[in-house]
Amino acid sequence: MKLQPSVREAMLGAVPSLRAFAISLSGNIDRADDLVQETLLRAIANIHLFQPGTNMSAWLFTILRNLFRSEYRKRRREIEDVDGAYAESLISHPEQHGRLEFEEFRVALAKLPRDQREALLIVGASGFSYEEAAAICDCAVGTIKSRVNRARARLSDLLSIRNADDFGPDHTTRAILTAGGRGADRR
Amino acid sequence: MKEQKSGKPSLPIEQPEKPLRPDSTMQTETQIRAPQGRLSRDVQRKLGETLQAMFHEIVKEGVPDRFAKLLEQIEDKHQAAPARESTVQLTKASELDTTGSQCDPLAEPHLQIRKTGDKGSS
Repeated sequence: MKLQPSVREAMLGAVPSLRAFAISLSGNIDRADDLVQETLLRAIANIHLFQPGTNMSAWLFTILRNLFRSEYRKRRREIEDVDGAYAESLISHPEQHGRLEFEEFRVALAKLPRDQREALLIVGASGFSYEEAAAICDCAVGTIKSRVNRARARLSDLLSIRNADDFGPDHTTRAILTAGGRGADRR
Repeated sequence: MKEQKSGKPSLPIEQPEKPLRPDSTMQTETQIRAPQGRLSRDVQRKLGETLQAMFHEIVKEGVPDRFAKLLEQIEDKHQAAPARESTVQLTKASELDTTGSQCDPLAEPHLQIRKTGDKGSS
């Protein structure tokens, strides 16, 4: 299998965000890296299906998302007992990605229903448009929008965010933000 | 909790400030939610920023060697031994023979790259 240099480049170029997506989706680095690897393998095996000129990143996200879902179905018994049980398990892995300041956010993210988490990550973090997200998730644009909105609302509930000043890794940052005169007034 | 229909020409009863949720005693509700139960723009924007910051923490790690090598290995395997078993060693990144490989992900792999499956033979 000889990949076109441009295809190869596009594939590797998509890996960082693909990996961030996988880690945020699964909450587990090892599992995420396996997902990325499996995604690349599938992509290469099916590279003839990729249309040059189209978005490689979106194509890889689609594959990864489908892999994650089918794997999720297999593991459902393990994970489905969630009332945060799965999310709780994440807390016991402080070597988890990123700095500690995102810990709370990550745990909240893990508590979102899968569809919502997925939509929020694709649109809100990975920077795809609603249309691209709809294609990746094989659903209507309106469905994506509604999932993203519900995800945001649920996140703010989980994080007890009252207003924009409640954000921040710790009180110091909050204090700085507040001292900076950032009003919380809604407009 | 009745929803106000936009089609109505006028409201018979004046409702200066419609309570968001009668059962809610949390004063925060009024701050988080705009009238239709949506998050305020400020909160939405900050949520987005935090999410992106978290995401970027991972993105900036770039491409782990594991994946660059994987692509090389697959291409090499298929080129050098197209007729042989096509399964690729998946998880043993540490065992990859990188002595002759090129690490530049943009470079085309050449035939002299050794296959990992050849360890036993000469």
